[in-house]
Amino acid sequence: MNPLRIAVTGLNATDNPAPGVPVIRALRAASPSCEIVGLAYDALDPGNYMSEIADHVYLMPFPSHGAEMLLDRLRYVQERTPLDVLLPTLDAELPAYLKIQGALREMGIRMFLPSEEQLKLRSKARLHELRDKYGIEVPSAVALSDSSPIHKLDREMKFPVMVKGQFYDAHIAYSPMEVEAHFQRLRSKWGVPVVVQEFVSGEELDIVAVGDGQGGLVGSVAMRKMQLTDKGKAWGGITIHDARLAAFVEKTMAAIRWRGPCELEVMKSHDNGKLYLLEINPRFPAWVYLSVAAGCNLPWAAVQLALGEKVPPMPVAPAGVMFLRHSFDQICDFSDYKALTTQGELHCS
Amino acid sequence: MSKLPYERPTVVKHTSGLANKFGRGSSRRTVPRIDGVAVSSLIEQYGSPLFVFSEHTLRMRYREVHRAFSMRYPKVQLAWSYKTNYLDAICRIYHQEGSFAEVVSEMEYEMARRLGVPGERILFNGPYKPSDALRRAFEEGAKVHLDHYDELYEAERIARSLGRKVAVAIRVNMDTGIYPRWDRFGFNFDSGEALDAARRIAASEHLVLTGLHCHIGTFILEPEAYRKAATNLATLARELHKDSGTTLDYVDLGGGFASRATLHEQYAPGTDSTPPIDEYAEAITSALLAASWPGGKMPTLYLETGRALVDEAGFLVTRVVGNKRLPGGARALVVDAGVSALFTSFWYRHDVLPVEDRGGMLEETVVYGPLCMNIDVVRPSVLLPPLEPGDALVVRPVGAYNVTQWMQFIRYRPPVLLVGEDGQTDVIRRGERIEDIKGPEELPARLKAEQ
Amino acid sequence: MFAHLALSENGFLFDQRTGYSFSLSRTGVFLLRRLLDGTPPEQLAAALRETFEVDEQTAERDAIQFLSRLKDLRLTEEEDR
Repeated sequence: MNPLRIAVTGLNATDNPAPGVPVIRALRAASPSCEIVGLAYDALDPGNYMSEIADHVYLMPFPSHGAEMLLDRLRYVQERTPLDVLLPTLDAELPAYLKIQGALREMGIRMFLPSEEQLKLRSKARLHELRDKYGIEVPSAVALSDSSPIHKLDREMKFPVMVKGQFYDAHIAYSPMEVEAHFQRLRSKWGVPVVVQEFVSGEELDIVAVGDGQGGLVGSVAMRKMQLTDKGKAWGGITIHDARLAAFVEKTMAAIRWRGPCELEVMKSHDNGKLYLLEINPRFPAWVYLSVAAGCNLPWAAVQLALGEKVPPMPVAPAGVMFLRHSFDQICDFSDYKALTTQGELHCS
Repeated sequence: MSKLPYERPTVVKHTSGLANKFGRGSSRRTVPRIDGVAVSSLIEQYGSPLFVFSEHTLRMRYREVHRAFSMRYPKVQLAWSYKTNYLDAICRIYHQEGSFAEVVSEMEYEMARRLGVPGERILFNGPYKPSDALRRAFEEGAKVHLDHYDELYEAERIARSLGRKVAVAIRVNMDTGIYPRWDRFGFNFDSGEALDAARRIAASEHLVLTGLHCHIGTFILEPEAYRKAATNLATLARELHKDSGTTLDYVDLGGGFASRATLHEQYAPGTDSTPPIDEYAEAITSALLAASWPGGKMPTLYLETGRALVDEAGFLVTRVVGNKRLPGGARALVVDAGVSALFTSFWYRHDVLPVEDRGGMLEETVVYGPLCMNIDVVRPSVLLPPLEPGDALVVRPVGAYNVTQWMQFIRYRPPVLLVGEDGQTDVIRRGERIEDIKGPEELPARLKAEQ
Repeated sequence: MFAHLALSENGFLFDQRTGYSFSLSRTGVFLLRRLLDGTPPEQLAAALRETFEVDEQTAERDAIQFLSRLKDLRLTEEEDR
């Protein structure tokens, strides 16, 4: 029997890493026999060259080029190295993957993704509906598609506010003028809308979870960041167990009936102790390998769900499992770089 | 020995984040034909640049949009938004399909009447309707949508002098969660101003309120905003009925549906991110159906969609004038049509596709128009194969707003062609000539001497 | 003069002096290979015409532009003296 072949996107592993490499490590931990195809966006993504990460690497067109080009490229990949399962790991590529989901299924490639409606509901522009419909606390927010309303914002919102790109990046702003500056930068990088969100001060907690799409929670691991990069990304963290947080996560996943992997960003308010849902990221976080160490291999669960298999119940993740990220100067074979830039693909012998 | 096929020699430096070219298949797209007609033969016959409209797409898209609404709601009427494209041939096609006319100025009103559209099939919007135009609209039974109180008073004066009651509607603005909020047109819903204005009309001896109109913005990518707008209009209608007994003939949800064009600041292409028309239709009609209407009388639903109907039916054919290499190494092309013809390139990342691809490496390219102005950029960056002077490109979708917002600046505006459903081609606006530009001018007698 | 340039037939070019790398089209590889082999720049257009289906004017224009592109990219700079 051929080994199970799984494609994973996002092999960037810089100081603001994509989740691809840790997802692959998790899959390798669960199934040493599976074969991994890395789908990278840049010949310089470090994951392309790491040993025991990807068996094959393909350069992919940027998601901004649209679903049609993505599908073309995957047809080519499928001819060379037929895939069984594909795990997208980046926010920006999800809409395109959702569009081609049916075509991929026909080609024999399975995924386990949220629905388009779920993806929209978790968008920063519409998250407040969770509060209106299900009583889940979320900070109030407005979605801006142009800068003209910014100067009136101080009549509607209390400053400071958070200014967030539709896919990535968040900045605190203390005045409409600062909102304007962030707006312009975020718009040129991630497009519109740019979301201005009420600022909630408190303790930020992060949860990686997989939902079964029926309202059930397949598994989850909660973490508090212990140290941050200057971009505010986790560079170390520790698992926590808090019954109230666990109930909040269950309630949220049940309300939105999330299908597939996600990361919940939750703020425990300093003012009133309430839990606020800041964001639902529709993919694994880069720290997802911690879930493996905590006894819940969530990336592998996603593969099993994609294959239509039943996932055995997962244990409650214990508190006190800790990770520290590190950077590492990896020596790369220049001929591999040459192959990627000229051929767009790389195959480990 | 036979020689090898040639392609232009290219060298590209590798940088981090360089747009990689491994999407091969469809990134090398071409548009050799429009509705089956070879673009090269169009250029041969009509020259370049050239706007081309597809009658097939115009009609199919109209029917698709009409069907999306009429299969969900019993009474639906589209009104063609003249400002989006008021070429006679285009308007006529929509009128043949059953569309009313939606106009926003006395000039557009005249255009619709000239085409034979009767007054009662014209919706008259806009913040300024000159008194004469307003009078004519009332005399001819047009559906007038009032924008502000002074216009309301003016309407009342005209009705009084006509000696009969005239029907009016009001434009309503509101918060639908869309930013920027279009709150400068009409009467505000959230503050209660719209209800006050409606009451004022109900109390008038000369006016009858027959409809409510709103238009929440442009290129709205969130169909849910329309659900809110429709719900608000229904709420307003109910309150109005409660205190004055008014029942309405129609609600007009305006337009603003996105086409499959791509804004410069959109991440994914419009072909991926624009919601299908069914989502807009579902949001609007389900809100209207869920509302309780006074006396159970469902109002007619008017829609004024423009861009979503016409954009993808329009193409601009242009030819390469020259190749450039900018200081810094970026590749540039100069083409014979620029922002004066293609006004929408300021806002949209249009597809710019070669008619023929003779191979060679794709390279990020700036596409400049022929104007002597720095702002004349058709695309700041697009992947294109090597092209030679005379090679043709097709820019799309460009059917909306260009042939109304284009400017006459240093060049003649290009001809506009219609490709019929049987492949027949007709010029529907000829290319401009010197007399089109100079015709309206007068040279004072004292300046007639050449020396 | 071009000892620092390593060109592979698949179009990958590495500049050992700067560490930059480049991709070249088929005709780009052809022209640079000729240069590396000692063909004088003024004979490049003729070389193109011998091998490829191309007219005189295009060959000449493209050869000139290709050379100036190499210069822009600092690939053909003389060593500092």
